[in-house]
Amino acid sequence: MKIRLKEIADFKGNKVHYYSVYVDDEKYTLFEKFLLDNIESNRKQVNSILIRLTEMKKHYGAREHFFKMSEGKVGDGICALYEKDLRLYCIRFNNSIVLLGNGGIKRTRTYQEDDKLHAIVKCLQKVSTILDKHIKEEKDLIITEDNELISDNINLYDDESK
Amino acid sequence: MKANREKDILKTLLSEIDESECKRMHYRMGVAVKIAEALKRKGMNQKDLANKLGKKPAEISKWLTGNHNFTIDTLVDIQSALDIKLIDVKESKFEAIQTLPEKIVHTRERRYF
Repeated sequence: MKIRLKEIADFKGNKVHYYSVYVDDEKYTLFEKFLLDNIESNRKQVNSILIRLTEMKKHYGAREHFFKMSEGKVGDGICALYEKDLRLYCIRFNNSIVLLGNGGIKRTRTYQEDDKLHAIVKCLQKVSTILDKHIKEEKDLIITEDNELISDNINLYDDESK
Repeated sequence: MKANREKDILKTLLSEIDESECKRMHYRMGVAVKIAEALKRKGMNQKDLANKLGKKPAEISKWLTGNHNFTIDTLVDIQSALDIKLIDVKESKFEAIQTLPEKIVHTRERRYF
């Protein structure tokens, strides 16, 4: 897998930096895909999630209790913002850095029971592994003192793709 | 053209957001933060608060997401459980209302006894 980080410019705020990723050579980031896939059928829920993201970046920060944590495996940072049955899966680094992924409607008890959501979370888990590796190795990806994720707009790879 | 519209989708959606809904969310999230901070100050967790209020932990977790529309009764119960202020209806902040002078009260009482 190859990913490229993108800061979401339309969402710049004092308290939170939001990012998303392009996976492999896809045209849209994971978050753009979430918006495009859900804006027609779930507009109200999408708007509600966007308002909460806005309030976090303007006033409150990305506090852990705003998210449904432990959506993925333990320690992968994957969490969800939800509005009724719509889920937006994210990677929350801290109160100031959140990576927005993809999501969708959850109609089953667990996301693993839904093929689409399962694929979305699995993809984000791979993204999390790649980011984690590069941050730990301080290679090509750093978290600055101002809580920004800097990657110089380059592709980051998992070990299998190199 | 379509490609540009799709790329600008977030900008479009943000420009269409209802201001009233923003205000409501602001306060819901603010209440959630106040509760979370009070729990931390008191060394309590969500389960402790749930037990104190006779609720399930999942309900407390839902409150703290910042998207819950509380009833006044629930806010009052939370205030008491955590010793915090969530609703402000201090009487000293109300406008003064006219009360009946003592003389008339006594006169009325005499009439009926």
